[in-house]
Amino acid sequence: MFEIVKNITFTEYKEIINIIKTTYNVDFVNYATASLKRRVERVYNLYNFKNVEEMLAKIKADEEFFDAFLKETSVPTTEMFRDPQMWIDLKEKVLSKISPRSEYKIWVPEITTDEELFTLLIVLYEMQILGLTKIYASTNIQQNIEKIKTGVLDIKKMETNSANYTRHNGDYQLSKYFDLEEKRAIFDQVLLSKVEFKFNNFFDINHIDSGFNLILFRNRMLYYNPNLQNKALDIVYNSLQLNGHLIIGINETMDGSVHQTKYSLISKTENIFKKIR
Amino acid sequence: MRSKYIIIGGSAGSFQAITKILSELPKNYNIPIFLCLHRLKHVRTGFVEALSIKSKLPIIEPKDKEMIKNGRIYLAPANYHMYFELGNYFSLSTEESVNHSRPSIDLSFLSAAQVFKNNLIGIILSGANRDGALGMKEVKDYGGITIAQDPEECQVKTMTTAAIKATTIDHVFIVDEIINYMKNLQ
Repeated sequence: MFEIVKNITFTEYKEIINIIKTTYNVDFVNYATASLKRRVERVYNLYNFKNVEEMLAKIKADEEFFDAFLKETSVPTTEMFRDPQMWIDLKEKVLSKISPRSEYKIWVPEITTDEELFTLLIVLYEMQILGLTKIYASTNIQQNIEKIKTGVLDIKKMETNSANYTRHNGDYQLSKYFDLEEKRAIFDQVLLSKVEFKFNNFFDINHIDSGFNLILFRNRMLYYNPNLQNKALDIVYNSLQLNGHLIIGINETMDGSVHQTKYSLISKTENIFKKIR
Repeated sequence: MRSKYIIIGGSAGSFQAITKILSELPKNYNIPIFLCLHRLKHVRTGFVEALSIKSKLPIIEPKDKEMIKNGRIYLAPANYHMYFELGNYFSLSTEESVNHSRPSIDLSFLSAAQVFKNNLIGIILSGANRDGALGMKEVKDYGGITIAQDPEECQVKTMTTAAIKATTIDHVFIVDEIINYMKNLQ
């Protein structure tokens, strides 16, 4: 049952954000307030803190708790094959045209849960181009990487996932890629082993890689304010090869950003962009 | 006078009420209206078009971080929660479904209450679950006005009766009274 926790005021919220910045150099200042505040309140509730001071002290003193805090405040990626038309367009307009002679580098930044990654692996496998690709997934949350590596999904999610798989015109049944148990679905470990996980902070410029052919960055900028969105767009732009593709969420936008003119739109409804300068 | 905002939540049986409200509002209606209606997660198009048929005001599904403008009606997009930020713009979110719903009426109302406080009017319409009840309580607690469609008029009264139980409702109105109330706010 959904409960509203109202223990944290805007002032207290700011205090928490500041402590995190000074203790761990993780900068939430420019995150979108509405969702992050709610998620901080969620953690507060989950751990039954009696007051904000107690939570602040725990964040400062306990690095392991802080990783758990990051995991709980990060937003999961809902469902496999979310927006099936995007995956169709990605196949038809981008992946069917890649060169069989060179390595194709893909980056999934700020990954929180497994759905987007599993979907990508299945798409590449069915197109028989998995061998050509090098996939990187990055996050600064160790617990999220560990969770994804187990390949475990809640069986309750499989109905939606399977329906989406069918909508995207998959070649088989989604169950082909899973061991199904009573409560869990476990993803194919051979496919999963194709992913290289990187544990780093997306906004730390010392870690930025480049030369990617494709960056899958859907529904991650939702949690940033406009300033941080611009910074994120700088990072993905610089990481992308010329003629490489960037995909953002269908309700995200580059409007008003300096980067808008540096891309051409490959799929208007699905927000698939190609870097042209 | 500070500017007002109206947020409307609805589910099963609310479509008729919504279209009636939208058809009666004049072209120069200035107050932004946010619609948070339960809808199929995987059907992205068609809903705005269906609502627009009788509306004189433009209906828009906001993009993330889009500025809120007067004289527009905003519909929470499929498969996203719709939030409001200080600075008068939207945020969208793909957080977990709440009450099996994304968009969640509770989450939209809660966020609107925190940002717009006593400038907010929360309206809950017909629906078959309890989503929105806690959201209405938040609207009230932050000083806003709460209005519930008269359960007797609702096709499905679960949602309005849950809201009436959850908090003080300023007005229990039939749709025609809701329309009059909204018109008189200008």
